[in-house]
Amino acid sequence: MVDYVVRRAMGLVPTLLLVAVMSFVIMHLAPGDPAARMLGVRATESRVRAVRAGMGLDQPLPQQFLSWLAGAVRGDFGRSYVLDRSVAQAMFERLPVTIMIALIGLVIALILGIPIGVVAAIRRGSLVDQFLSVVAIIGVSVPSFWLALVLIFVFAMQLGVLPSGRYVAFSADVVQALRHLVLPGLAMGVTSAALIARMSRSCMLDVLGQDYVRTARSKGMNESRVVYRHALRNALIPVVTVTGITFGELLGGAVVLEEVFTLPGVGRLLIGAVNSRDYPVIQGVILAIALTYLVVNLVIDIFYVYLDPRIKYG
Amino acid sequence: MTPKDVPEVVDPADPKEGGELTVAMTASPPMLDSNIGWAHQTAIVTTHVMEELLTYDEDYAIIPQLAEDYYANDAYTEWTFELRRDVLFHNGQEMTSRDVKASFQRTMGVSPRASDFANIEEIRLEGDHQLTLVFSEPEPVLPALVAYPYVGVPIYPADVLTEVEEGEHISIDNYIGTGPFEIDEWIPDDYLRLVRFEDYSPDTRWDGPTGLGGKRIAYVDEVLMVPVPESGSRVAGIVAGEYHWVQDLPKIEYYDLKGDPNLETVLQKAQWAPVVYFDTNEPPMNDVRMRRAIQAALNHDHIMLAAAELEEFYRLCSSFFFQEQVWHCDIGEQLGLYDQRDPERALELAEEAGYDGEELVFLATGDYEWMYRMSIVMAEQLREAGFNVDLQVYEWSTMIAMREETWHLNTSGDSIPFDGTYMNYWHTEQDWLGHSSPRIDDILEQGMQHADFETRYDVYCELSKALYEEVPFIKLGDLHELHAHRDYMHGFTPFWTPRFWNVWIEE
Repeated sequence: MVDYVVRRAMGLVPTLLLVAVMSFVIMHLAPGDPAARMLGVRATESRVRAVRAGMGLDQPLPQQFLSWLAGAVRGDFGRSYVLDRSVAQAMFERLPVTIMIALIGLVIALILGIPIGVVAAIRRGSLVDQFLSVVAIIGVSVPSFWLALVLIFVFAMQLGVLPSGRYVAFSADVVQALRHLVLPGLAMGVTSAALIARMSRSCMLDVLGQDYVRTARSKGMNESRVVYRHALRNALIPVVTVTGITFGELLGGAVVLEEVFTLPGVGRLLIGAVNSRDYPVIQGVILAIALTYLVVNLVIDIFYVYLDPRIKYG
Repeated sequence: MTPKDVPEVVDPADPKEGGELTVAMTASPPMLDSNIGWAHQTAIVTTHVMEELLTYDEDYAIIPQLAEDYYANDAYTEWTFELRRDVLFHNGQEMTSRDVKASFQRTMGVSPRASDFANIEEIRLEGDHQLTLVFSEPEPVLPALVAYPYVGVPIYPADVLTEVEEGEHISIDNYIGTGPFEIDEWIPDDYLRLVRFEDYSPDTRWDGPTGLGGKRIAYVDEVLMVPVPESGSRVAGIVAGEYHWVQDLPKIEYYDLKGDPNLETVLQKAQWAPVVYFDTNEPPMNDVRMRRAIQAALNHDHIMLAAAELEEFYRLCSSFFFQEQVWHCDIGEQLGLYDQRDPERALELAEEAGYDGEELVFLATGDYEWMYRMSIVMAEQLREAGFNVDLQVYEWSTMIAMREETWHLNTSGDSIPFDGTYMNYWHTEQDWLGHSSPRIDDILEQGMQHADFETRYDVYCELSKALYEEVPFIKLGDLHELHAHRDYMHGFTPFWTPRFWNVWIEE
């Protein structure tokens, strides 16, 4: 097991390197110049050239990448052209917000999705099953940003019971922090809940059709015990895998929702950096998201062992 | 303006001190360093925290701010500034001539407008409260160059500027001015907090605020500026009461917001002048007849309505200087060259220029919805007039980068030109879009040679005539902005930038 974890951890390095190279290349392929963007449209060509040189952007691209890489391996991801702080500091300030939103979205997705999927499977073919399946399809189809706007309209503008946006740190006010996270969490979680519901239903149906379940029923075991003690745990094993993927998707989906809810997360940082061609920030954020995604999936894979004794990593 | 848009009459006895004003802005300032940054959001912060020797009043005329008085010698080679006394910086130091000198030196070193002060030979200190700028050549228009409200000459403490290393920007640690507010905290993309400067020295030469100067008083304890880029979120926030004031709301929401008894809508006139630039070096646009053809084809009313969405939010105006300004000159209309709506004349001119249906690359951006909408309408008008237009829409940075490729037309927006010297970017030496015109160069140079307003006014009217006849760009009209605030926020009146001094909240 330890060997497996070490091997997987070391496997992150080439993956992250590939991500870094691809993001660097794509970033520089896009037209636009950070110096021109910073100085404004009236800047003279000579002034733009001088600022570009100060940013090191007059160097050949491979040299720029290697300079960045040399710093990155030491934990120095460079300095934002725009934000007057290091990339690490900018991300440190914002990553907790994005992770919090994604986690709350995930919790909501699991709390809603698993019970819906299980009930639909138990009541297979019934009106309840059909209704829940339609709800799940709608949930999958609805864009999260549209749902966000609807939630804001209803709960903030019409009812006035929840705030329309912004972030309050838990350290400042726990109650307000939670109130400010409800709508973003719902917008983020509902779509994922639908996916998890459909996955849970499929897995549950598969497990309920297994021989051991049939045996348990024929022995006269109570149906609740059959479902919740024997079938559910096995049905959830694939759902755990999906959870890891879902968390990564939620991190990506946060980009749009952070704009809608005015949340100072990594997503907004990335959007702003792309608009202003803040290359160090773009590079750092993409790498951070990739690393988070990879680590979460590694943790899920390790957790899998404890869920399914048949799984052994050598 | 409808009655609901008329700014409230302010009774000086009414203001109430205290409270935190939370305002939603369209974006976070990209930087605080107003010596370098052109961004409007940077200017919004600067006007609250920093002050300059001179500034602009409500009619966009120059008035003194930190200067008690200013005058030139007969040859305009020396400009003397007498400074107001007992004006304190946010760090408690008193402003002296040494600080002003250091601030000018920084401007001359790093500002994109450094060339405006290139002729300064010496900055002579004459005591703690007087200094003289000595020029190698006459500089009759210096007040206009000094009063620039963005990328201007904000006055910092000299001791603070010595700590800023070459190539570094001014940051929150050294963003020290004399303004009614001082900066407390800035988390980019999250919020910027201004707090009242308790030892602020209001300019008592005026009875109240005027433009960016006058007697400014910070009634609120704090101004929390929150960037809310999503316009729908700004609407939601002001309706839900989470913000006291919001900037730039979708104009299509105007009637709903007007009908909300808890809100006051504010119509900010002439925030932008939508324009279309030409690449005057690229055939066929290098032929003035072709540019005059485009000029003739356009229906400005339709284009401006597309940009503004509602009639209340635009006006047709041929002057490059807005109606609210002392520089206003509608020569374009007088010449019959504005809003011609004459596609037949357009085609005649195009044929004279030898236009044979070549594709015209029209660059536009989707980042600003009003620019995008007006570009769509303009492209269609030109196609109907017989031009072969290829409209290419990009995000802002890409659009700017595409100017290095082949292009013929490009929509954009100009902000308010505070002074005739603002038009200097059309001089060949400024290399703006590669345009060069000896006639325009000559007029711009004349504009730098006179101090009296009347003469300068005539010169810049002549410039407007030249710009309409040579058509390096077309001004489409005046575009207004919609802001809104809660009904318990008082004292706010619209200007070039939002002003949160002399504003108070009483819930």
